[in-house]
Formats: sequence, structure tokens, C-alpha cells
Amino acid sequence: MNMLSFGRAAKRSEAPASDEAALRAAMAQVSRVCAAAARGDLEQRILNIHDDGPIGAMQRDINHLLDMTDAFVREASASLTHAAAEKFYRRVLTRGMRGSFRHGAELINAATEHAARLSEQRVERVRLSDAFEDRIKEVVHGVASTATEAEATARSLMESAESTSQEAEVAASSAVDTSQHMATVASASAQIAGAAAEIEKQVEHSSVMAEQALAEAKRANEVVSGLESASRDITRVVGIINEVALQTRLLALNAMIEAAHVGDAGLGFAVVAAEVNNLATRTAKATGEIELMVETIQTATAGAVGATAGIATTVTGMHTLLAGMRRAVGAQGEATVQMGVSINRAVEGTRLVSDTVATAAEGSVQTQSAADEMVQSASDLSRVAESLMGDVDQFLSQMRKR
Amino acid sequence: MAVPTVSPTGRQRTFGDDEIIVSKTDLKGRITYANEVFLRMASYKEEELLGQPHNIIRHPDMPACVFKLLWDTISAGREIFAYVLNLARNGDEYWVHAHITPSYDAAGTLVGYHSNRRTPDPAALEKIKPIYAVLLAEERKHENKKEGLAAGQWKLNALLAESGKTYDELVWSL
Repeated sequence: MNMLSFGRAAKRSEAPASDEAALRAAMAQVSRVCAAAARGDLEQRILNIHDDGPIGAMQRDINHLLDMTDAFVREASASLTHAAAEKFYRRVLTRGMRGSFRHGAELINAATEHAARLSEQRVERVRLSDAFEDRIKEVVHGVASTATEAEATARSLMESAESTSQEAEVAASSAVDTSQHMATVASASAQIAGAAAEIEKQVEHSSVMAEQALAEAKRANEVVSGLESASRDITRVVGIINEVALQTRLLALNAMIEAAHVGDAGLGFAVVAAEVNNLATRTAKATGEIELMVETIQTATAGAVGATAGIATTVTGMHTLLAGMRRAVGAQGEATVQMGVSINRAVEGTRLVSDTVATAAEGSVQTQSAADEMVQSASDLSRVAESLMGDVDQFLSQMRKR
Repeated sequence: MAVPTVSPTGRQRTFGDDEIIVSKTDLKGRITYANEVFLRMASYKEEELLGQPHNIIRHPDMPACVFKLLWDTISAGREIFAYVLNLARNGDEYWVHAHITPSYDAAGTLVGYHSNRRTPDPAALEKIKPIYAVLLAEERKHENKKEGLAAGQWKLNALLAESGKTYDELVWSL
């Protein structure tokens, strides 16, 4: 920087040539400083100002202009540099600035104020984005985890439906078996009923036979009773014959004695008398034999009577037994009929079970298909949640960039 | 040129709100330019100041740690704002709101420093004065200037840590 001593020199010397030289030097200095400032070099100033006249005033004014311009540039640069680094507290100081400088400073401050507001809004937006992200992530994670759970549930449902289906198949096959068994039982019970009816018929027949046997036995008893009375008659007649034979022998004996009395005359008679005696003896002997025979007959008859009575008793007992048997067979028949009804009901029940099992099987197939769809849906939902998360991330990253 | 020892008078000087006090120094802090308002407020003639160290107008009641922070900041290429109490040649004093910035040439090389001072906001001054008093008291506890400066710096950092603000934030919040 050149030293100017125009003012003092001017005062000291009145020489016009020297004044003019000093003035020229001063003007050249002003020109250099201004030219440097115009090039953007605001460091240059006019130094050593001693003139109190218009030249000095001009020099001071130029320095003042440079100072104000320099201050404005420094302030504006600093404020904008800070603003660019988001330090919005650094404003352009307006104190000491006037006119266009002040107006420019105020405009920059207004812009900084606006930028500060935008920055605050951006910070707020980032904060909101963060909060939104947290919330939406929470929701999406909830959805994803619910979908996963739903998928697991659907899978488990599918498995249990499958197992139900298998069990229904087994049950259906069991029901068919049961139906077949029931049919066998029904047929067996029908056979039992037939056999019972046959038994009943036979028992009835046996009963009739027993009654006939009883009647025969009674008749036989009567016959035997007749025989007994006949044998008693024979015994009585034999007794009479025995008496007659005894009297005859006595008579013969008497005759022989009489004949002996008469001697020879009586000899022939005596022979007849002996013959009569002989006959009588033989008669007595024969009746004895008859008596023995009758006794035998009587003993046999008594045995026959006992036997027929035994037969009658036995047949009566048998009759009673048959009646009981008839009642039992009747009850059995009734029970068999009852059993048939029950078996029919059981068959009906089994069919119902079979139908129900079929319905259950159908239901479980539908459940399986629904569960399958649910697994698909849950998986879709998981994918959608994931995709939503991606969209949200993208959206938020775009949001935060602005 | 030797710096004359000036005793403070305690008298306050003021300048206009539409005025700025301007000075430039070289990298060593020697004055290369002072504007008319500077000359008036400090009561020096231009030729008495050019080439003189800037602390020619330094008031003894200013804490050394503030100037240390100031020089550390601008030599690092950053601007700094500070409320500074200056001393006129006759011992009068004047508070300024100083803005000090590095100056670069067209090639971007640091060539010196520049300071604009504006009238301080009275309310801000009332807040900074007790802080400076604390720092000064801390520094004056030490006979040794170096130790005093270190203590002042430590105190300043402690105060900043306590307020939870950087120095810039503190100055701008006043």
C-alpha cells in the first residue's frame, strides 16, 4: 500500500506543480484500490490519509465503502456457510448496515429463517417417518406373525382333518363289518325262532302222545283189574271143586268100606269105589296146580297194576314237564322275536352311524380343502406384508431424502 | 514502537449503531488498517497504529483466555464473535461486539485477519460481564501468566460444559 501524504504536503507547500503531482498520486492510489476491489480483492485500503479536505474525504469514503462492502460479503458468506451446515443461528448482523446492505442482509436472514423452518419440518418429518416406521413395522410384523400362526393352525387343521378322514374311513369300514355281523345275527336269530317253533310243535306232539299213553295205561290198568277179579273167581271155583273132590273121596272111602262088608259081592263095587277115590285125588291135585297158577297170575297181575300205575305217573309227570317246556319254548320264541326287533334297530343304528361317518368324512375333506386354501392365503398374506414392508421402506427413504 | 502503559479511567465511550469499527492485521496480529471510527474510538492517529500489535487497545480487565480462544479460532480459519472491552489511548473504555474473520487472497491463502465491531446489545453485555469477571478472577489467582491463562481456559470450558452450549451457541444466545 502506498503512502499518501497529499494533504500535509498541500498545506505545507503552495507550489501548484507539487499539488498537482500529489493529486495525481492520490488519484492513482484510489484508482488502484478501486480496481482491486472491482476484481474482488476487498483487502486493499487507502492508508496514511492526512488530508482534511475533499481529497481526504474521498479517500475515507472509499475506505468506508470498501469496509461496508467487505463487512457485507463476510457476513453474507459466514451466514450462508453456516446455513449450509444447518447452523441457522448464524444470521447476518444488520447492525451497522444501512440501505441496500441492510435490505440484502434482511433478505438473507429471511431466507435463513425459511431454511431453518424447512429444516425443522424435515427433522419433524424424519421423526414422524421414524415413528411411522416403528408403528408400521410393528403392525406388519404383527400381520406377518399372525399369518405365520394362521398358516401353522391351518396346517394343523389340515393334518387333523386328514386324520379324521382316515379315522372316518376306518369307522365306515367298521360300520360295514358291524352291518354284516348284524345281518348274520339276524339270520341266526331267525333260525333260532324257526327252531323254537319246531320245538314247540314237537313238544305239542309229544304232549298229545303222552296223553294217548296215559289213556292206554288207564285202559291197561282196567284190563289187569279185570284179570284180577277173574283169577279171584277161578280161586273161588277151585275151592268149590276141591270141596267136591274131598266129599267124593270120602264117599269113595265109605263105599269101599261098605263093599268090604259085603265080601266078594262087594268086590266090584269096591273096585269102582277105589276108582272114584283115585279120581277125586287127582282132581284135588289138579286144583292144587290151578291154585298155584292162579297165585302166579295174581302176583303177575299185581305187578302189572303197579307197572301201569307207574306208567301213568310217569306219563303225567312227562305231561307236566312238556307243559313247562312248552311255556319255556314259547318264552324263548317271544324273546327271539324281541331280539329280532332289537337287531333290526341295531342294523338301523349302524346304518345311521355309517351315514354320519360318511358325512363326517365329507366334512373333513371340505375342511382339508378349506385349510389348504387358508395355508395359501396365510402365505399370500405373509408375502403381502413383506412387500408392504418394502414399499414402506422405499417410501420412508424417499420421504427422508426430501 | 513501544506500547505506552495506559491506566484505565473507567469512563465509557460509545459509537453509533450505524457505525462499524474496522481493522485488519497481518498473520502476526500487527495492524495493517484501521478505519476512521477505530481511530476516533481508540484516540490514535493512523500512523501511530499501523504496524502496532492489535493488543495496543487491550483492556486489562479482559480475561486472557478469551483472546486465546479468539486467536485459536481464527488461525484455524474460522470466524469468531466476542464481546470485548477495549481501552482508548487516554484510558477510556468501550465495549464492542467483535466479529473476527480470516482474510484470504484470490488463491485462497490466509493473508491476515479482519475485525468488524458493532455496538453491543446492552442486555447481552450484562450477561457476559459476570462471566468475564469469573474468568478474570480465576486467572488472577495465579502469579504466573501461563498458569493463569490455563486456569481461565479450564474455567471457560467448565462454564460451557455446564451450560451445554458451544462457545458460538453461547455468544449467539446472549
